Amino acid sequence: MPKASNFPFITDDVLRENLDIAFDHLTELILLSESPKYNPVLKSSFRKTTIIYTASIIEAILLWFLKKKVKEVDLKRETKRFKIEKEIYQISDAEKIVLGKDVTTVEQIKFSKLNLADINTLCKENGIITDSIFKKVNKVRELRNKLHIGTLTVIEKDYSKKDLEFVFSVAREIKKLP
Amino acid sequence: MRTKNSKGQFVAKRFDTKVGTIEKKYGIELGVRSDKKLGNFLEEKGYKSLAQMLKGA
Repeated sequence: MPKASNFPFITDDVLRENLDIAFDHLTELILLSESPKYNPVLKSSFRKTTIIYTASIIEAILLWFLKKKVKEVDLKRETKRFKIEKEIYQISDAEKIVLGKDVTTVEQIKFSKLNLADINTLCKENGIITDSIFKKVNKVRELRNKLHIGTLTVIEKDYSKKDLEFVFSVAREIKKLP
Repeated sequence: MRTKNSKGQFVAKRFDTKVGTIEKKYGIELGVRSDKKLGNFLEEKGYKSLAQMLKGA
């Protein structure tokens, strides 16, 4: 195992290497965001990319802990829906009285199909993280999701050092979980 | 700049990486001594958690 890894507790060589590559990249993005060579909007964009990379590191580490604690075969998602058997009386355009039943289906899920929200929830449900960390990771996820620029309603140019320090502090907490 | 270990694997940037290495790589100027350690630079700039991660603390 390379001594200089920032993630020495990860015993999966491929994952550790990929985490180190992502970590190296984000430290260099930070330095670029500190250079007077770039204007404030570009600096903010470097910070945004840094947040996205940090979130991916958080996601990967949480998944690593989840895999250590939970078997894939035990990963199940319950979905409950109300199945209408018969319409009895139409009250109005918006309401009707029906006869029906609640149906619960259990779906098998795979580690490879989990997103950050799923991983965060499963880690909390399995006692890997506290409710406090769960909420922080969720906040990181919301910041990360701003990469979907098609859904944004405001102009994105104000990522601050405070945003970055927040995501780094969460990453640091996740790293210290074992 | 990323380095390789004896097995030829890339290893992560260490706390003692110098600012000058990054300045040279990207053609930027960070306004501090080039032999300043990356972790110290980040900590002074307010990235405390990131600097601590680099230090392994």
